[in-house]
Amino acid sequence: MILLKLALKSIKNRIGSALLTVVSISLSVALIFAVERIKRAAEESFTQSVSQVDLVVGAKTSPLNLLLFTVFNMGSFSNNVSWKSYNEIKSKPEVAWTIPYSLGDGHRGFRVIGTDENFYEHYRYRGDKKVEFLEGKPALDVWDVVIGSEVHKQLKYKMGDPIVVDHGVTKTIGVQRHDDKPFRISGIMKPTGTAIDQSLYISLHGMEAMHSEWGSGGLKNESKDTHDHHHDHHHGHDEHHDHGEEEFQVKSITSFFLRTQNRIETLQLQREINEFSKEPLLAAIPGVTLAELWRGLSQLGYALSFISVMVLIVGLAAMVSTLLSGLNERRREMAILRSIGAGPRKILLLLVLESSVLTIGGVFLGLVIEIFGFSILSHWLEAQFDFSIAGSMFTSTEIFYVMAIIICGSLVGLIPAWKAMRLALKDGLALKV
Amino acid sequence: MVVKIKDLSFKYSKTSSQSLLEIPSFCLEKGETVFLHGPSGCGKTTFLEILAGVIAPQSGELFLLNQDLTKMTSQERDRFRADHLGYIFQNFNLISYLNVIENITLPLYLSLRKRAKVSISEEKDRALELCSHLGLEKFAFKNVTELSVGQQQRVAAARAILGSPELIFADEPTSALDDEHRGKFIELLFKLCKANNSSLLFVSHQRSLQGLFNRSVGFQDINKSFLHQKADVKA
Repeated sequence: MILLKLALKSIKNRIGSALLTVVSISLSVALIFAVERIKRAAEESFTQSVSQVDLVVGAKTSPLNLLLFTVFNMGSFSNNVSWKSYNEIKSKPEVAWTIPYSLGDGHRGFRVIGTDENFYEHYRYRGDKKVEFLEGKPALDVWDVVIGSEVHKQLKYKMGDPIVVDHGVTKTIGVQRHDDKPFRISGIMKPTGTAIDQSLYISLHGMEAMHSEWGSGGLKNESKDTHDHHHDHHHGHDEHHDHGEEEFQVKSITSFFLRTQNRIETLQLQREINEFSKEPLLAAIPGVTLAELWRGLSQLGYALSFISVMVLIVGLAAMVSTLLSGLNERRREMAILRSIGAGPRKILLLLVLESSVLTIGGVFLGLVIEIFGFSILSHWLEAQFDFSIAGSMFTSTEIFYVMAIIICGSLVGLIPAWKAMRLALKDGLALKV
Repeated sequence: MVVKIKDLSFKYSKTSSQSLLEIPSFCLEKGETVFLHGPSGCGKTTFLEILAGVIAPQSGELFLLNQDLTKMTSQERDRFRADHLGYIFQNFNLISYLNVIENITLPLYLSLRKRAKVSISEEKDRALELCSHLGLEKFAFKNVTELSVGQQQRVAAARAILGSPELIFADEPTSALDDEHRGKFIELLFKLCKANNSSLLFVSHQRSLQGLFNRSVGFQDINKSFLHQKADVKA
């Protein structure tokens, strides 16, 4: 205890250089923890883009392709799921609910998704977060459209604004425009930090109505139902607002999310869907597929961690060099301690304690910097990038890092401590040069 | 007898042919104050380091308080020093980041034996009492760097005596003091030693002080090594 008291007083006596050491360690600690937290937040926002969904179902392709296209709007996808098959699976007793997704159209670079009321009711991301509205209500009527927060921000739309949907998601105006089918904004969603923000949602009927060859008998064209986005579009239709949704019969969707009544039934149901006889379908478990994908993407995270560990090593090296360079001035102090009965081991321990105290100080200051930094930055990050860094501040990883850094600091503290002990042994009670 | 030496010899390295110290016999009685004088560089400090158990002699007998230091490990000697010794340096005796009281009471934290004599609850009172004996009451909680050299030496004396060790070794404690402070310091040291029944070995080259002590010993008279003659030249 007296050694700890001596270590603390000695540090206080050299507060200037001690503070520099603590600050340099704390900055590297803050960096390590910030990297860890951003990695975790990125992983969370990635793998939790859709949650509480047991299966994602689409036409036969790779699970990754299905997930990327359905959840992140990446890649391409040509085959659909027929409305009949969808309803057949939907009505199975194991199924709790489904969210249909009909993709393929865009609006000024943002994708347009046809779905139904289940999306607003059941879609969850990042655990238990539900889609919420800034204003307005779900797009349930044929010509309703709900816009994501990023669409709202970039295109500066207001409630009730008319929107024209392009065929294909293009930045410029689409090749084919459904000019004659203007949708009206019925709702604006709050930011979610997922691909939802960059999307517009319409009803399945709206999607059909837009593509329908209404007036030319195209509705009966059942044979083409797996390519509903590739059929011809006729222009110059009459006023369409007179027609109810029942007139636009849904023929197919791109994919759908599925929730089982009981989680245990997931694998059984997945097998059943994969072996579906009427058309080739694929059911993927989103959590598993997203986690696999994340592992592939996490190389960058390792690189960041590596850099922050390097910075920590520099910080600890600075501490060692500061302590080493101060030793010569402290030889007198060591001789005094020896004269009153402190053995070489106590001298060693005193110096190691000083390193430990500096490291612990650095770790805690680092944590404070990280926590304050994030509490200040988190609003800005969320506002600017829809990047949520919510989530637990301390995980086992953090605790592991704290312990490892303190142990490393104490271990490298052995270097100046050993030198001090050698000097103390050589000097005895009188300084020898 | 508190110190008893027989045929003690010391050299800096085992291979060196000549010894720095060759002391056939030396002793110190309980409560005795001994003045040990000799020119600088003749091995007086090394002699004190051996007595304090910081370094070990190569051969000979060294008994302190009837315990054989040559049979002890360095750790045991460290413990012995903490328990039974007080040591005063020529100058820079104090730990700069501790205040006066903290410096005085520091040995109590390194020795269970000294701690047994002065408990934590009374250490402050005892230290303050010593301060007032030494005319340092105003400085008790001051940083030691604010003290004059004379005041610092008095603090060192207080630290050496607290816990009533049997032996006080002082290595030229007055050479940094002027005449007036020198006399006063020795007077105080005697008073403290007498009150605690401690023996004092006082090393100095200032022969004028020797009359104040029970006994005066010339270092050349006890050290038969002729190396010190070279040391004389060096000095």
